[in-house]
Amino acid sequence: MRQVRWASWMVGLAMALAAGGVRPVAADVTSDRAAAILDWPSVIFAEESFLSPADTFGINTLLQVSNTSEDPVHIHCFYENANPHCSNTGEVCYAAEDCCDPMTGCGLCLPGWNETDFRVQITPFQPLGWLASDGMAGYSTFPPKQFGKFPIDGVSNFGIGGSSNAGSRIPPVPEEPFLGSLRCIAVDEDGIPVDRNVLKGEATLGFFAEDPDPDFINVGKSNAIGIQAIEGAVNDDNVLVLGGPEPEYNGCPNVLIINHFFDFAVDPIIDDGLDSQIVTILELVPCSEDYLRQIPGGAVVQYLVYNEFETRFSTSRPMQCKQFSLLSNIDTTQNDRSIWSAGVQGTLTGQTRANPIGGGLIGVAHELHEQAGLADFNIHFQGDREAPDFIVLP
Amino acid sequence: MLRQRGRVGLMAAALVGMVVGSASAQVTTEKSASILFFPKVISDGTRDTVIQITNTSNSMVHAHCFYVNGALTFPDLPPGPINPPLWTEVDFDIWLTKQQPTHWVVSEGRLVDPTDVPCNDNPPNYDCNNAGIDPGRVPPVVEYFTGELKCVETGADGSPLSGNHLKGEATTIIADVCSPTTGTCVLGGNDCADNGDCDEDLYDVAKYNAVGVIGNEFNDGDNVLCLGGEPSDECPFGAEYDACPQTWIANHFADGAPDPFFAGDVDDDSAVFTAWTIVPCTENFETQAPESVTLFVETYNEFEQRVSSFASVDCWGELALSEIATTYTFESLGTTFAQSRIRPTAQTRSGIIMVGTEAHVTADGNASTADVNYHIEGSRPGPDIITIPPEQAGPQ
Repeated sequence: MRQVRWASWMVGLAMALAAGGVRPVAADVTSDRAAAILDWPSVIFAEESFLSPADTFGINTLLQVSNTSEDPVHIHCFYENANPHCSNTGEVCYAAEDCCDPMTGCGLCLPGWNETDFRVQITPFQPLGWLASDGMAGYSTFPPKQFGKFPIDGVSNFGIGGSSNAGSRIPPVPEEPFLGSLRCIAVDEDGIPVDRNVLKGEATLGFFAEDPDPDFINVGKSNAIGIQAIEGAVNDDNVLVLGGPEPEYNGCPNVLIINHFFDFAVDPIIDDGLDSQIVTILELVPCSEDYLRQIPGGAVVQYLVYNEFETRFSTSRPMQCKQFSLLSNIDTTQNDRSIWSAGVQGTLTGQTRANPIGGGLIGVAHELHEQAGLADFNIHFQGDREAPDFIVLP
Repeated sequence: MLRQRGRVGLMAAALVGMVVGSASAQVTTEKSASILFFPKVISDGTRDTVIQITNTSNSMVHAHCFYVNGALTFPDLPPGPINPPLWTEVDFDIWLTKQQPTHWVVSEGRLVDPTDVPCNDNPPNYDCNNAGIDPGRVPPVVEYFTGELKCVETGADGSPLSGNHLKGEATTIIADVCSPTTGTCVLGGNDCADNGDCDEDLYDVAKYNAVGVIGNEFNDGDNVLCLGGEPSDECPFGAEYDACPQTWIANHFADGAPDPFFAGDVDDDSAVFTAWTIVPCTENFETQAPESVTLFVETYNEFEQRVSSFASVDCWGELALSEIATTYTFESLGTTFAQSRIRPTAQTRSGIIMVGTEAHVTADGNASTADVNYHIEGSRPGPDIITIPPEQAGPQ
């Protein structure tokens, strides 16, 4: 039964946010190969009692990154904070009513976007991991290594060829609660982007509770999405060109394909008489980001939705900075009237093809089973965009 | 004349090989493909699996699918020479209209039944399993099925083709039942004597993408599918499909490492465990001879310290890290995370396809799992060969 409560928590968050707010190139953004740019579209952190005092569950994201090569690599990373904030109090809000305060009256819940960046040096073949809530700082140079600390300080111990994690520090995410994403770019020791496809990463989203007796955990895991550099094409300026006629990195996909259960479909395996339902949250982030001017990317997303009768529906919706939404909140706030509702579609599963216009997108999906919990999965990609996307570094 | 024709054929094959070049490692978990591997398909009373497959094209697509049961002959007994895997195979055909998604629960299959009632909103009724255009007659698996599903895109006549129109996912639902080996409920962690002591409303879910093998332009449509490799007698056109990967890269927890969600303290009794489900790329459905692979596993901890070990799999294997070697424990590795690079040994004639399962267990014994698609690097020189009985791979 506790599954139902935390699932409702995440669904509530998704619904609230939806209511608020010349060189050949391949479509090789990838979640199963090492790359030079990694993007974790979903980074979430909220302490217990976030939505209501009765909530005993926290949510956090465990981020993993590793170097797949025999040479050290530096990465320049950017936490992208997509929290909306109240115009009157400045507090984080996920619904308009969050901005009503007896002292100040009601303000507006305004979308926001800003970034926090940091640098890390990863030694050959080294795996690292940290919690979004805590980051990673300091050193633990003898086994058993303390979680949240770097293992090789370059003073008392060294890696292959004298490599180390010296100079590395990962801050905690800048706000609690936090809804955002993380992007890391392979750079050299001077911070210049390099064409080294040696990074792989994962994100584990966890709902957990320590205090209740017994305690509780539920997890979902997905791979970071990689954008591979084109060998020899990456220059030393601060504008990274993804796809297009003169790309430095592979292009973002033309179509994102999601196989999913329609929202509120009854789980076909769980036969407990409770009609355990399934919903899917789709998180999308733009390929283009201007970290220099703090301008987030965006796109108009055209959706084609097919059910098991081969019936086709379509809708479109603009997004900027980040989309975190139940499928059935993409086209309406009335979920049971959505084209992603099982009741409207008539079948249990469907295929959604998302075609971004005006900018590339990448994303990940969270599948929430009312009785069984969370399962994250990477979505498929098809084709490559003709127009380039740009990442502008400070 | 025959010799002349043979020589011309080989020359043509060599030219084709030059044009095609050696295959790259394009098994993929994020693009449509011509062969789908679902390495982990379980229906054993504790777990059941939902298969989702979608046609990503605007034309009708056919596929020939194989269930391979890798369960032990006597599932309750340890594996050994007198208790080998069954390696029984059942095959069936599916066809999908343009852009059509489909699904089935493996324990139930999906029979052709046009009277399946669609979901409707009036009154709210979203329980419509099997509604939609049935993809064909999908048989249920046998009880205690632990194995794989493989689907090969074909033409209407059953001949394999390189359409690259299929994508798929597998969702595993786990029920909270009593484990006879530990005497505890598998999800709740409480002591139990039988399933009645466990929470019948407690379940867990995990999901992974099917691993796809992309088909190449030169596919002769016969019953021998060549994954990677140069032209040869068996594969006159060289690689009909891209090669299986040379190396799989798994980022994983040291076995039994404290769960970071619970502070990650070494004194914390929470733990994370990892298992790998592995199947060979090469399979001969004609001779029904199970393929064996020996794997070399090279692991780096966060200190960049390296350990290595070997593992072997016959036909299908779900290997807990602790079954492979004791060096993967948190006490041995000394760090929370590790990177393992897994490849078939040089003497092994088959590549592998694999997925991971990560189990997070709290101090009180509550558990949750997540399936993981791993990364790949490089391509095997190949070829890996999937042999389909000729009767199933062409006009009847």
